[in-house]
Amino acid sequence: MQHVGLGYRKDFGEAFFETPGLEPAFVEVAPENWFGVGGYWRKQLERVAERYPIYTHGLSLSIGSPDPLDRSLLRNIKTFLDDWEIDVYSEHLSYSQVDNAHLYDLLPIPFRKDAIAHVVDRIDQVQNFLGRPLILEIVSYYTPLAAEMTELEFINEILQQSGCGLLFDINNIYVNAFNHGYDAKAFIDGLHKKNVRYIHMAGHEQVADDLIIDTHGEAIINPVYDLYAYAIQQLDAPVPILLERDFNIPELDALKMEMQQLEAIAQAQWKHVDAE
Amino acid sequence: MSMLSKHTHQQQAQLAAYCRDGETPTLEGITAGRIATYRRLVFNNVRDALDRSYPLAKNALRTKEWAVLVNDFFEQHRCAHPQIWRMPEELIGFVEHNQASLKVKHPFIIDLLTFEWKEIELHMMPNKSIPKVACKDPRKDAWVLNPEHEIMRFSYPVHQKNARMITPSDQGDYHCLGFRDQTEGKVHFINLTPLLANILELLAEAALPIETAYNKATAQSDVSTAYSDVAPALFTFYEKMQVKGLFIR
Ligand SMILES: [Fe+2]
Repeated sequence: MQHVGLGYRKDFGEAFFETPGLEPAFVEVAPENWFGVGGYWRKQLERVAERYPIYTHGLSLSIGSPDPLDRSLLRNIKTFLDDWEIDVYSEHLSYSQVDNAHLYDLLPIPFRKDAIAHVVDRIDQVQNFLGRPLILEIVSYYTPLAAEMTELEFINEILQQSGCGLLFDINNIYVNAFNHGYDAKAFIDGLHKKNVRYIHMAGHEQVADDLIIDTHGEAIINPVYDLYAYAIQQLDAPVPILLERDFNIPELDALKMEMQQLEAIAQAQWKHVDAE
Repeated sequence: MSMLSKHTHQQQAQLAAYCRDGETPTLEGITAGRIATYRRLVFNNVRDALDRSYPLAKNALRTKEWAVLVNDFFEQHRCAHPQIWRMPEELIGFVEHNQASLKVKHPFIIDLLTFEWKEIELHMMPNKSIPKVACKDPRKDAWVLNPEHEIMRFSYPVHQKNARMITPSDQGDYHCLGFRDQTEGKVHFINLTPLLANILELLAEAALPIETAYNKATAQSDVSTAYSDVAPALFTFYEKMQVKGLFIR
């Protein structure tokens, strides 16, 4: 594949190396799952790294947290990125730690002016510390919290003020539009897309008439493919695209087919640029 | 100086506190019913990590007991590790300091949790540099211990027996060695006599020939059997352990 990568999961086992034609353009890992790890899993990661470029998607940075940035975590991430010669570090525009307690999930940052200033300042600190650009993902959220502006205004303001990269998670936009009753295409139209550096695609689970949970446990649904095609039409240049699958992992052939579909759509859109 | 206003900070902190303790927060502008989703997601993360790390302890307690323990930990403990796979280690300290009645009911619980955690820790720990050695005469030359090991002491035989079968009369001094082999990265555990534990502790400090290690270890203990009497059995033990990956050649 030329554009489409795959989130590498330990559960793939040997099938990851043996499935014919499963040749992602890159793989993505969470640094928190791999730094400070030796033995069997280090060897597996070495095998992966021999074959594919590695991108990262962190879990515990908690960029929007009221707690101070965790310098020790940042040091571990930096060492990991340096040791494995990784350039791409992405994270979530959310918070997951308060009062020194990790929640291991993505809580919604209040869409507020002071939170923007707080996040922008911390993006700067993280980028300086890591010596790499930070790419932040639009996360799924299930309720706003003490909002004084829209989600779109909040995200755009952060992108413009900080200049950080945007991880355009199409499924999350679909999930949010559904859960909060707005139009996903209008959201994409209004987004500050100059900063898009990376795309995520995944499946989700509808748990009630009015609620979808972003589980990464199902195949991508057709409306999300449509939204993806719509979104990449609006990008000036190709960006890497990742298929995420965290639970309920099927045969890798099934993931390969999803990747091929994503790849075909991307190539149709970017054939002129790709040819250059 | 944080740029966050006190108000925003409080709103964020209250949502997070609610996720952990379930006490109704005063949050502004939330969608009815949705914060419960966050609480469930956060709880599932913690429970799944504990379940995965401690299958034996989960099985040794009654279903209800384990559920209560997980819930107590979730509500009362502040998870400190940013790496979720390391977080379950914090359960050991939590039980040690906050679960007096569980410890009375299941006196082996700390040993069992420690044993299960050590397996994860040994499996995952960073590689240690392995000394290069040329051992020509295994009966005379120094033996080099695989540095990726740990010697544990338990009061209950959690490494030998299904915990459900452990009774108060099993209480004693147990020694257990865990190590990670270099070839496959698998973790192995073996029961040790106090003397063997002593020998391996000496070998952990410096490579020694079998006889030297034995004499040093017996000098520190009340064992008085001469080396020549135990040499064949000891040699067999070393050879067997070398095949498993405990020694470096
Ligand atoms: Fe994503």
